[in-house]
Amino acid sequence: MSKHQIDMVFSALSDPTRREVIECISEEDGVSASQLATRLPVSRQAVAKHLTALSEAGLVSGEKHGRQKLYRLTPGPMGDVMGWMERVGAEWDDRLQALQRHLASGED
Amino acid sequence: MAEGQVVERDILLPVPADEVWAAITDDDQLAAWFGAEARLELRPGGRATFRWPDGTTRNATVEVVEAERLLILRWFPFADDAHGGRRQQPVTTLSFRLEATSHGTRLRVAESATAQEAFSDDHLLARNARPDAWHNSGDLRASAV
Repeated sequence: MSKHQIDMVFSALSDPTRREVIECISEEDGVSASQLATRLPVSRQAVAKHLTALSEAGLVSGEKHGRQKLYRLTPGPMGDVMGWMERVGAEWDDRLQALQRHLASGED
Repeated sequence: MAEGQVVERDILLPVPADEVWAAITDDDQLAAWFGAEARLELRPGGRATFRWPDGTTRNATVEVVEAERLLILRWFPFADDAHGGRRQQPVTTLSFRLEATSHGTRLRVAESATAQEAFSDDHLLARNARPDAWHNSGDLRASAV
């Protein structure tokens, strides 16, 4: 997964309703947009829009079962987000150590 | 998960806030610890440019400047390598918060990838349709040109 997709994952997860959609999906083994709409305080249309954003970020996938499309979590991208956080965290650990050394050296 | 996409570090520095502020805003001092050469236009809307030893360059927009208290930068969504290549990067907001304490200065650094106003649903959908659509985003246009 590219960095650009990580960006899409961040954007997708930044919306509180979308996080609720994810939570609902995670509790079921396959759930339709209509079922989600009955559990969340938003319209079916809004649920469909959120599902589109989550699908495009690779966080959920929909599969046709007869007339219904059932959604499941595809947790792979979360691992990429964790990887990004670890990498950026390590960068900042190094930088802040260097900042401490810099300030202790009294160069300014 | 709301705040989960944030890398946050907190450090106590045994020097006054003005010295910490100088260390995070002065180009020469930044070069001494950031890991990259820096050029910072210290005003809201100003450009910040960082160049790493391997030739990678990444730009940011200065969003908030409150002397000796708060500095916020927003990274551009790409980095350029030394050979003219361009890599997509997550758009993150980098904040430095300074707080004077009895023993010096508490510095909190946060790099957050939570969505900005430019990444509302509509923008998200538009961006998915056209990966380079950020060029048309109003708040980035000024700094992109």
